Amino acid sequence: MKKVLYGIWVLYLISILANIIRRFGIEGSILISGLVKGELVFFILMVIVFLLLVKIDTKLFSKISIGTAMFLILVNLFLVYRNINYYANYSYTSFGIPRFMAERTIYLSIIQILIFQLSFYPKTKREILKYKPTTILIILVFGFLIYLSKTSLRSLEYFPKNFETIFGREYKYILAMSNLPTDCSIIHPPYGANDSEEYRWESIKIQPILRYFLIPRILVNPVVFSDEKTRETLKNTNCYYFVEIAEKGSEWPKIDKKNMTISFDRYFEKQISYEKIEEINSKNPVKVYKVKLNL
Amino acid sequence: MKWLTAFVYFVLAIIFMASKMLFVVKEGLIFENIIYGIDILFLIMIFGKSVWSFFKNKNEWPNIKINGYGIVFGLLILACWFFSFNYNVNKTIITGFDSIALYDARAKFQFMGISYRQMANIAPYDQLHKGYYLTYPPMVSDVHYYWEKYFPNIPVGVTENIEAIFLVLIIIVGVSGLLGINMALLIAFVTIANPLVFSVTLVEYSNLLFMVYFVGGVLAIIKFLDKKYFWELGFGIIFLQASMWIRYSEPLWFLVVLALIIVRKKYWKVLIPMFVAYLSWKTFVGGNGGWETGLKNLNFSLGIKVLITIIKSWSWFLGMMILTFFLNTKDKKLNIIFLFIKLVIIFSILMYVAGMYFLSLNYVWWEGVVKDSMLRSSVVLLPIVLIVYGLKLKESDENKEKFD
Repeated sequence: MKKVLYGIWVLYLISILANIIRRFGIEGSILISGLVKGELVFFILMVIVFLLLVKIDTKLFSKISIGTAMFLILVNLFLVYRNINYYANYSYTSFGIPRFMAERTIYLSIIQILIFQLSFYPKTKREILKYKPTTILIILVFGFLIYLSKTSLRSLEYFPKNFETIFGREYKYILAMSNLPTDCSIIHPPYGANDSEEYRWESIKIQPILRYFLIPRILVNPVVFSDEKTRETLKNTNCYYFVEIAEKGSEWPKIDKKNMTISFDRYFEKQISYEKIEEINSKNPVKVYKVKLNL
Repeated sequence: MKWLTAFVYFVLAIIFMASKMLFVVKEGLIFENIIYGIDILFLIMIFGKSVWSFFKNKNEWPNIKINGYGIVFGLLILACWFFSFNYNVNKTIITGFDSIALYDARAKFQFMGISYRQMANIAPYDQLHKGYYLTYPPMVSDVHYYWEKYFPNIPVGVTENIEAIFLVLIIIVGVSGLLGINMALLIAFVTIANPLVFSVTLVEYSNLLFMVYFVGGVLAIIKFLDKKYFWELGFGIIFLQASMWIRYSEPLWFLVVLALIIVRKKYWKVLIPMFVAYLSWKTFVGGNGGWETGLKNLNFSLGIKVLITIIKSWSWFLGMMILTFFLNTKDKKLNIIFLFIKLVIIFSILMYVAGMYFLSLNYVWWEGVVKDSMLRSSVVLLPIVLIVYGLKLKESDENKEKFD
């Protein structure tokens, strides 16, 4: 049993090597393409040949297989990481090892070490029967958890490296507001208690997100304009800034220059008259307005 | 192992106590209400007695016999750590909604001289997020604040990697005595490499720090049940209090204390410092912090929907937790540990199910929480669940040797 496992391991190492050789030019050989493809029949034949011809020093082989497995884990982890962090096909173009093979090698190496270190491999049929179902189940649980870890490395691909990735098209508006002076309050798109199905504006309507970038400016959620008490206190505010969101389907707010009114609410139903409006930093692609409202 | 344990326990306890004491002093609370004073006094007393007991006791320390697969899992832990470190050290931003809007924002406010008390009233024109800045106690923001103050050129995300080191160390320190260093390294690896845990090392959330303290607290109590050294109970209490100082609205600490009292009734006194710690933050936030959930219009069909969503989301993890109930031991000493862990698991499952049900009654966005936050939050139980598996494996391995 042990000899078969050694044989398979050696063949696996050869098939990795064959991949590297193939990448650098030697193609067409049946031996190499067979090893690369890892065809089952070919593998079985090779194992039989190996078992018949090679005499194994088991102690030395145990050390060699654990050593190579450790080495392969580290090298292939590095390759998978470079595929994610550098470019997708890095491991193949540089070393001839496709990503799936690098990932598979890591798991096979871990299994290899577990087998030889824990001596989990059964020597005889009788020994297989000695294992209790719970023991096998527990080994499977740990094996599953090790297998699960492959998703972790992949998750690095999806994690953002800049605010543009997190906030998307809205980030340019947040950035435009963060460059404004602090003399006026800022009105942002509305966010009411029943607006959970409102997707026209995402982060730009959420005050805690905006405040992170805009502190110490006072932020006004236009929903509060409907509240008589709050409206009274807001009468003391001299001026407001707001950005005009221009993307189709997300336009906000609605400015009626003819009647000198603005609607900040969700359905643009409530008009608020203004005394004066001016567009500032007109060179910027994001339009920013300063307004004096008649509340 | 003695000095590693001392380093991990003392450093973690001191960081937590410093965060709490600085908060009480900076907010000027010490003379305001007696509860803050009692809370700090309890902490100092428990810490002092634990340190004294640590050095006074003739402790048994486990032998470190690391084998080949121990080395492999050690290397894999290092590789995992390096991958997340490389991401964190190279990014120029804070990742994740709450890490931007809450944890780092509060650190930013502190730089501007805004106290936590003032943060409660920082948003006069936003009824929706009233009290948002007090939903979580200050520890994670404090970590951000002091990191940004003393290491302004290193991204704050690197703190997650430091926390990851402590998570690995606390598992090694907590599990080695029971299961040996190699199994401890295996548990540390499958924990840190788990997609849910790995993902929180990439985001500046409170999950990882919470996990460090919560897992540390539970492991210390498990060790206490095994060896009965006071310092293990003392540090267990301190770490559980710290977990409360990070994520207040998840009463996992209470479930652990309850499980401890059920298996060892005479330790009911542990509840006193825990409740004082609980009340001190409650007194500070008053009606401002926390999720306001109430029992309104109990809905049976919604309950079923919540249950199905939870089962689907937890999937393999729920199976793994339930499976522990079928694992038993004949060893009397180990039986207590098995019982304790199983109680923690069953209480936690019930807490999450009940919590999500109440949430679904009050908020339409409950489904997102079940699929995302609940999963991330409950993964703190993973290394604790694995102890049962490890103990069982060790037991059957020993039996096998006897049989041979």
